[in-house]
Amino acid sequence: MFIEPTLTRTQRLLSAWVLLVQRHAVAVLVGTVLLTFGTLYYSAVNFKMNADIHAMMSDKLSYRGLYKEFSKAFPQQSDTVVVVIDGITSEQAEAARKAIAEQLRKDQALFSDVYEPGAGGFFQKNGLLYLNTEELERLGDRLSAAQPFLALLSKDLSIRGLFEVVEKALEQGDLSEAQDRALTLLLDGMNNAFASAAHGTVYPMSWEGLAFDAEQTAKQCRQFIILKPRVADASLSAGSAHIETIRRVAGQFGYNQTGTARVRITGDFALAYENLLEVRNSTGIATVASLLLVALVLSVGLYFSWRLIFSSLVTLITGLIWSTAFALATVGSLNMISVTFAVLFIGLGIDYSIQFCLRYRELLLQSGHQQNSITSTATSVGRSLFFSAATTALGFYSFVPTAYAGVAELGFISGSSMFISFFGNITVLPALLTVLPVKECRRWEPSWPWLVDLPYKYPRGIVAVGALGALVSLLAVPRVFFDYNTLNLHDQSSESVATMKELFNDPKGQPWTISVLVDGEGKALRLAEQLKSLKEVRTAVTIHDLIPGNQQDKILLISDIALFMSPEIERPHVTAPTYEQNIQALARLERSIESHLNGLRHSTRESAQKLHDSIRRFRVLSEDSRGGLSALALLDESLTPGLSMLLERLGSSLQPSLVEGPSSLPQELRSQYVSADGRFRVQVFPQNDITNLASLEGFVRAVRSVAPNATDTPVSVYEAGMAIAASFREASLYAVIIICAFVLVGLRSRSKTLLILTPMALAFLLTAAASVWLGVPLNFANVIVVPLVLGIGVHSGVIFIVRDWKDPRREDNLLKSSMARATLFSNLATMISTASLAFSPHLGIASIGILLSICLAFLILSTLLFLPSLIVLLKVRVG
Amino acid sequence: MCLKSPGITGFSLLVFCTVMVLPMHIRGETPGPAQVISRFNAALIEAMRGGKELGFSGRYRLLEPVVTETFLPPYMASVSVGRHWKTLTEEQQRQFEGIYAEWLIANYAKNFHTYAGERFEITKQSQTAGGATVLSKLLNSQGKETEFDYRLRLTEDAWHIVDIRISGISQLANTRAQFVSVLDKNGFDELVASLKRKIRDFSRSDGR
Repeated sequence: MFIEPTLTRTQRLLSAWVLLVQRHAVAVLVGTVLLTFGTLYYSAVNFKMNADIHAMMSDKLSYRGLYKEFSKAFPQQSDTVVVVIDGITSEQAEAARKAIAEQLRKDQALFSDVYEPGAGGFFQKNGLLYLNTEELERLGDRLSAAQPFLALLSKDLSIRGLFEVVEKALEQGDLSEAQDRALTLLLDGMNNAFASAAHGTVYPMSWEGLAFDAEQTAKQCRQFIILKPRVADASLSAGSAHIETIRRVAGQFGYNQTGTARVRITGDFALAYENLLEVRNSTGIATVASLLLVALVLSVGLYFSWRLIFSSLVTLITGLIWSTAFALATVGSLNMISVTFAVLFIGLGIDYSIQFCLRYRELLLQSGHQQNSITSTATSVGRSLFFSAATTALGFYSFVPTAYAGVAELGFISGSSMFISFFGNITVLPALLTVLPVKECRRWEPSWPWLVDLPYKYPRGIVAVGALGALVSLLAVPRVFFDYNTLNLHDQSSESVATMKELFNDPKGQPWTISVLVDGEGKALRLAEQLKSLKEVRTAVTIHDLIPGNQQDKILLISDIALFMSPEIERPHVTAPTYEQNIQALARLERSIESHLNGLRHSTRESAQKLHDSIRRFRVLSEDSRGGLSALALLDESLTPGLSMLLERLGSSLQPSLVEGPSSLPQELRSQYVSADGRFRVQVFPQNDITNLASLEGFVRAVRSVAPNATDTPVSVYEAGMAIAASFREASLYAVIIICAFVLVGLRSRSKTLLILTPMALAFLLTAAASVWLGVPLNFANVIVVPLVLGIGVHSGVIFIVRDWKDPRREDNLLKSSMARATLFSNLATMISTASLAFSPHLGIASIGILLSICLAFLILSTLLFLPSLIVLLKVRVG
Repeated sequence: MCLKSPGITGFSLLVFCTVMVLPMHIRGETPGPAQVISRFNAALIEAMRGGKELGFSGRYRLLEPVVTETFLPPYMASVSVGRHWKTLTEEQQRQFEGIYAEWLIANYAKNFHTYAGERFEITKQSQTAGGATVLSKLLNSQGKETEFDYRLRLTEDAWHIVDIRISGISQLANTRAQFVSVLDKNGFDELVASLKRKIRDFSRSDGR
């Protein structure tokens, strides 16, 4: 029987407390229930989550200061929602963009700024100035060739008018090559429209594609809207209002994932929101999963004693609720990292209950006396539990002073929750055990006797394998890789991430650019020139680049075009011919094609023939007038809307005004590059794909060599990464030092301290190797593994050494003791509980699960196999 | 005015009056857009009346001064070749302006060769920042209308026609489309040659 002859002060305190609890067990339980419900209510009311990754970095870091300055000067550049609209034709995309933006602009409460790049009255009027002179000349050629037809069409803007125009074009004969090409395209387009109408669908005819440069128009098939959301607080519900509104508006018009235009949502704000959702959902599931798994492990560990299992689970859950309330009361919100504390708590907190219950059971078997067993358990196990809580908490607290607020908060919350768990285990648990005492016990025989004897039979072998493993792992350690690309933390299939990754390859939509704030336009221009000469920089843009060049020449060109184009464009005569009139026009067209077919050039003739056949089929269809009416309506929808849009666009763009300087630009455009207080922004675009970290680093360093105050996302990502890596090293160092000191002071023996740290060191080495070989890099999320395992690992080692030291019975197999079983099952519980995180679609959290489980697995092996073997070997040597 | 001697006064007064009156006279005569059109239309009617008696060359001579003054052939020539204008040497540009003007006049001389009671009517005129538009109609004796819409520009204090839209088809646009196509394929010399050929053909098809 394990009786400590003299109790230390701590133990006397524990003993007194537990006796008190036992005497007033019912009162304690009632109090617990009240407290738990109270804190549960408090948590439910005050629950807040914060998803901004960059807010998780300390504001004292210099890059944060630069970024804040930039955000203040250009508020609509940061934390935006980017709506990406892809249409089959440029007209569709533009129409969708216009409709959605107009609707969203009305919602002033949700969005403070709705910006449509390349749109608006300014570009409608002066857009042609932004083409280069060659493009303008080609446009002039095209329009001059099309002028007679446009003139005709504008007199009768309908499908009848269109048929007439085609008739005239075929009649004319002697078309120039350019006209011929255009005609072929037109015939092909109409052919498609007829075919679609026959099948009951609409074919989106791209008139802009015919009129303007095909390549330019193809780029216009992707349109953007950039929104600045108005946010009261960075919580989950706030984000959802904005995102859901955008989806609803898009859905109203029939856009979304399918439909005439594909609307997708991305941007920093959307990323943060989806991140939050993923984190919340997956940790919610993980928490429940880990509870279930832990209950399973518990059942096996506690010999299926339902009272013990029940009492442990209740203690655990109340502790979790208290800790959540504590977290919300002290820190105020949970962030992406600290939300995983629940899973950690479950894995670690159950440890104490397991230790307590098993020890209690062991004593009960020996003595049969309930009250004494509980009290003795408290005094013996309680002290080492406190020690363990302290060391684990120290491991967690070591992150608090670092600049990485995400993990600092996790550290604080988890560390404190260890003490809360300890408190629960010496209060709630004994009360429950008093009320529900265990009745029957079976003596335990190890299920795998040979496994348990291993360290005692083959100590040399095991130590040798361990040492070898350690040496091999040392080779892998230099290759441990820190991936600080925040994009890789998310669920890669989520819409915002997938869209953003696509945008990195789109030169028009490059999401991550560096910005440099400069006083003075001259300085900005010089800086841009300097930056452009760097090989990592594709281009650098200032307000000056928004002003078209060669304007005098272009204005002359445009006025030449305007000469022969207007006034028909300004006043198209939209008509609505009757069904019969349309059919008649169609018949005339059919005849016209027949008679002029042979006069056409080869390619045109092919297209004309196809069109002729389509028309014939269509006319057959339209013999049934109902079917014909609907088919004709579809045809109309395919062909005419784009026409009026095109004429309108041409009309408004033929009288541009000279864009003299930045002051001639519209406010929303100017404010992209000139702040309200008159500072200039130089926007730097990367040459390479900066989702690759090496390219990102190269880009940031190169730009900073010329402009040290560069800021914006690439710099933030890079700096945050460097800061985290530094925090990681710092925190691990603190943790090692503090824990060593603590253990040294507690145990007053250097050799014991070393022994305690050995299994941990081994587990770390092996985990580092696994991280490299499995390709699971360190990232923002899973850096917490190191201090965490430091705390846990020390605890396991302590249990062993302390037990061994206080009760050195050489014959008795340590592994057969309750302590060993407790260590095994509690670490197993932690491991399985954290493994539930590995299945999260959120890659950051999944990596916590993977790395932590692996580390804990190695820790179990080191603690239960390697350490005892080492002890046996050393004892044998020491004698 | 303090007069010293009547003789000198009288002379200076005369000079003064002459000097004052002359510019006013000239300024007063700057024709507005509608007047320019009227003058051109009148010349066309005259050519039509002259018809067979004048023959092509007669009509050409009749129309030459009017077209040269009411139109702006050099400008129209430059527009009608688009971007190729910059690639021509000065000599080529002069040459082209010349041949274009000839071709322009020849076109009208060829097409307006018989008179059968036609008349022109100006229906509307308007001015915008870019220039002026005059809408007019050609009515024949049966009352059939053909739209003749003129675009004018103000250069050097005078209005000049720069484009005519006949039945909606812009002559400048049409010309440009054809000329640019020839230039792209066959080059400048071929364009000049083809214009010369066209003028020759016009003159041969006298009366037709």
